[in-house]
Amino acid sequence: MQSLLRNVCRAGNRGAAARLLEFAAPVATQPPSSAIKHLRPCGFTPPTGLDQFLCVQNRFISRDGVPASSGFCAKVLMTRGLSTVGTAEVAEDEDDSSSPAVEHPPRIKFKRPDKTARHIMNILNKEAVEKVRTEREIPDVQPGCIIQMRLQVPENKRRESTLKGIVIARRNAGINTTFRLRRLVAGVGVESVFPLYSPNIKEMKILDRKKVRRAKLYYLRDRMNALKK
Amino acid sequence: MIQPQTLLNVVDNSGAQKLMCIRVIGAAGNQRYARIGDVIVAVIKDALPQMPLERSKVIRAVIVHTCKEFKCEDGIIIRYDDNAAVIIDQKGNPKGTRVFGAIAEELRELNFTKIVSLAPEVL
Repeated sequence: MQSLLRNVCRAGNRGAAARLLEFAAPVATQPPSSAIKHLRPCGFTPPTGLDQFLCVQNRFISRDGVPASSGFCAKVLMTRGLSTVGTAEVAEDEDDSSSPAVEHPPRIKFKRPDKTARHIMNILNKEAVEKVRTEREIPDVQPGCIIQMRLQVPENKRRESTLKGIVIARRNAGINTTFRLRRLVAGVGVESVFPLYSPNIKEMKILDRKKVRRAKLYYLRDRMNALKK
Repeated sequence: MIQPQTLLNVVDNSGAQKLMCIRVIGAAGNQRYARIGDVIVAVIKDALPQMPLERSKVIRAVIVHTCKEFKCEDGIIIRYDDNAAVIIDQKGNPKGTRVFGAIAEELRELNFTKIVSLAPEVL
């Protein structure tokens, strides 16, 4: 797409733009050779894969315009695959913006490459979280919960240890959501941070929920209560 | 993050109660901090009476607890409430016969297997 190329050339950010351009390459098949002329002057050298792609383009480009190139692009779309998890979305993406003949799946706007990249990362994150949630039952741990969990250490021993403690913090970050558990181990207070969706956590059970008025209960560090910390 | 002048508790029954770190083994120009599993040179600041180890003796110790978080390889982060060490000899064997408190599993890979086997709880 001309606008995409123009944006890429205009934006100083070579890194992100290069990456996006690489994966939007099938999208950018519209280019008649004029687009290539666009690229050269701004000193932007596409990565080699893209380069030979565009050269191949050049050979087959007919002066007729859109219909021929769209036919070619459809063929090339098949051969050029991307190896990310979100291939489904990306393929939809390309199909969508490349040729008018193909039907339109839900549109992902393509005006700003960096915003699109973030949007795609969001989708990947949500997919990963959904996948884990369907496999395992993960309760809603909030600060103030006293939980008991079974953790498997997959090193040599394969032991399963049972941990019991109070959740004092929770950090939401998609698949990387972590929570902080505080417990008393052999007379010493120990805080551990666990990824919520870790495959090593075999089972989690909420024993009790305490009423707290904070999101992070770091004040408990100064208070060595008799109750389960 | 243990550095010289740090006070540490002792979690074995060798007789010493408190240590002060005077050197981190393997530090370049004394710039580096010691973490769990590092060996330090320490001086005994406080000891129980009538025990083989007494006050103001310079010994080596291995760090087992730190207040600074320690990252395990499976994504779990552990943080203790105090700084503590176990006194060892030149070879790495503990001087005491019992160890108290929870010891991290990672010490086993660093050849402190005797300490890990004496521990009442291994994290």
